[in-house]
Amino acid sequence: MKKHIADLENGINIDHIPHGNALFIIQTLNLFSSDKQVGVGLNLPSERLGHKDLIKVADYNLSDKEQDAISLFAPGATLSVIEEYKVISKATLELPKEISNLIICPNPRCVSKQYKSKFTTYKDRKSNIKVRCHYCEQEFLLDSIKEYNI
Amino acid sequence: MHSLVSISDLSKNDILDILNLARKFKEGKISNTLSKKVIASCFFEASTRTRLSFDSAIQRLGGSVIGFADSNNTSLANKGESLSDTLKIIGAYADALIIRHPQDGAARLASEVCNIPIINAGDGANQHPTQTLLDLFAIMDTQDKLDGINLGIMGDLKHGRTVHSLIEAAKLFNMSLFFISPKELRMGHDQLFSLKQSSIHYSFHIYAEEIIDKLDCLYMTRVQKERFVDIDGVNFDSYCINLNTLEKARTNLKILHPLPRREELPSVIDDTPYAHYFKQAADGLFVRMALLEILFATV
Ligand SMILES: [Zn+2]
Repeated sequence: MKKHIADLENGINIDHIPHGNALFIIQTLNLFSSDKQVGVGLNLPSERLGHKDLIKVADYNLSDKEQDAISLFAPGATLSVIEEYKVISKATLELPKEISNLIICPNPRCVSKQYKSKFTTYKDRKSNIKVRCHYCEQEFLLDSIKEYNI
Repeated sequence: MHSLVSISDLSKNDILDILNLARKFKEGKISNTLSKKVIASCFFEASTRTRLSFDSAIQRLGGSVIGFADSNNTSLANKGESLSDTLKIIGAYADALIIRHPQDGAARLASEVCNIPIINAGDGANQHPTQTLLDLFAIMDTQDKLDGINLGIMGDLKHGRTVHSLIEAAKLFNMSLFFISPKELRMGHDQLFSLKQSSIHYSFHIYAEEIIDKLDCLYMTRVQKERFVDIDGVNFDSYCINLNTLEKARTNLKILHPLPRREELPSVIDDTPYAHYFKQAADGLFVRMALLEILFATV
C-alpha cells in the first residue's frame, strides 16, 4: 500500500472506497474531462471490506463540496493528502450531516426542483443511509437517488 | 417563534401556549395586536375554508388582509417569475405572510426568502400545521388535557397528511394510539419505529367496535374508496361508522374529522353527543387568532 502512495509526488489518495463506488466518485470530480493523472483500482482485496476501490489523483485537492460528496458516496473511505511523496494528512471520511446543492430531490412536487436543495442525512433502523429533504421533508434511501447536481 | 412552517418546529410548550391562548379567545378575549398591520394571505391553490378562517382571525385582531384566493386568477400564474422572486416581493408589502401552495416545501422556501413571519396554510402533500393545532385544540377542549389521552385514528393511515402530523404531536403528549385500518393501509414502518423509540403505546385494529370502549377521541380521516377497492377482502363499510359502532362508547368520547367528510362519517352521527367535528373546524378560528397573536408578540 505504502508503495502506491509513494508513487504520487503531489495529490490525493482515496482508499477503502466501498467496492463499486469509484466510478461514481470519478464522475463526481469530473476527472474524465480533466487533465489530471488518475490511477484507479477496482475490486482490490481488503481485510476490512472484502473488496474495495481506490483512486489516486495527481496535483489535486478536494474542495469542501467535493469532500462532502465523496463522504456521502463512500463513508469510511480514507483520504490522504500527499505532498512531495509524503502523506501530510490522513482522515477517515464520515457521513456529512448536511448536504447542500448536490442531491436533486426525487419528489416531483418538491419546490426545491426549481431552486436549490438541502438534505440532512441519517442511518435508519437497518443502518441504511437515508437523506431527508429540508423543503418537502420527505425521506429517501441514498441508494434510490438517481439525479445529482454535479 | 418567528414562523410556523412545520409542526415539528414547535416544542410542547409552544403548542400549549397556542392552545391555552386559543381557549381564552374562545372565552371572549379581545385583542388588537394586529392593528395597523397588513397580512398577506396568498393562496396559490384554492382552499376556501382555511383562507376564510385566517381572514376572519386577522380582522378580529384588528389587522387588514391583502392577497389572493387562487393564483390562477392573478398575473402571477403566467409571467414565469420564480416563486422565490414572487415571495420576496410579496414579503416586502406585508407584515406577515400566510401561504398555501401546491408544491411541497413552498412555505419553507418562503421562510428563507422573506424577512417576515410565515404561516404555512398547507404546502402540497407535506404539512398543514394549523390543521394539527386545531385537531389538538379539539382534544384538549373536550378532554381537558392532552397528556395520556387514548386516541383512535381510523381510515387510510398510510397516505394521510393530517394523520402523520397529528402523530408527531401525539409523541409529545404521550398519547396511547389505536390504529384502525386494513393491514394494507397501516402506517409505514419508519413512523412506527419512531413511535417505538418515543415509547408511545400503539396497537392495530381492524374494526372500531373492538376498542371503542377504550377511546377518549376517535380521529377519522377522509377515506378514498378507490384505495379500499383495490384491497382484496376489505369491506369498505368497515371504515365507515354508524350508530351501532358507538354502542359501547365512553360518555366522554368525541369524534373528530378534518372535513370535508364523505361516506365514512354519515350525517346520522351529527345529532349524537359524540359529534365534535363541526366545532373542531369552527374553533380553528381561535387557534389561528392565538397563533397570530403569539407570532406578533415575539417579533
Ligand atoms: Zn424535496
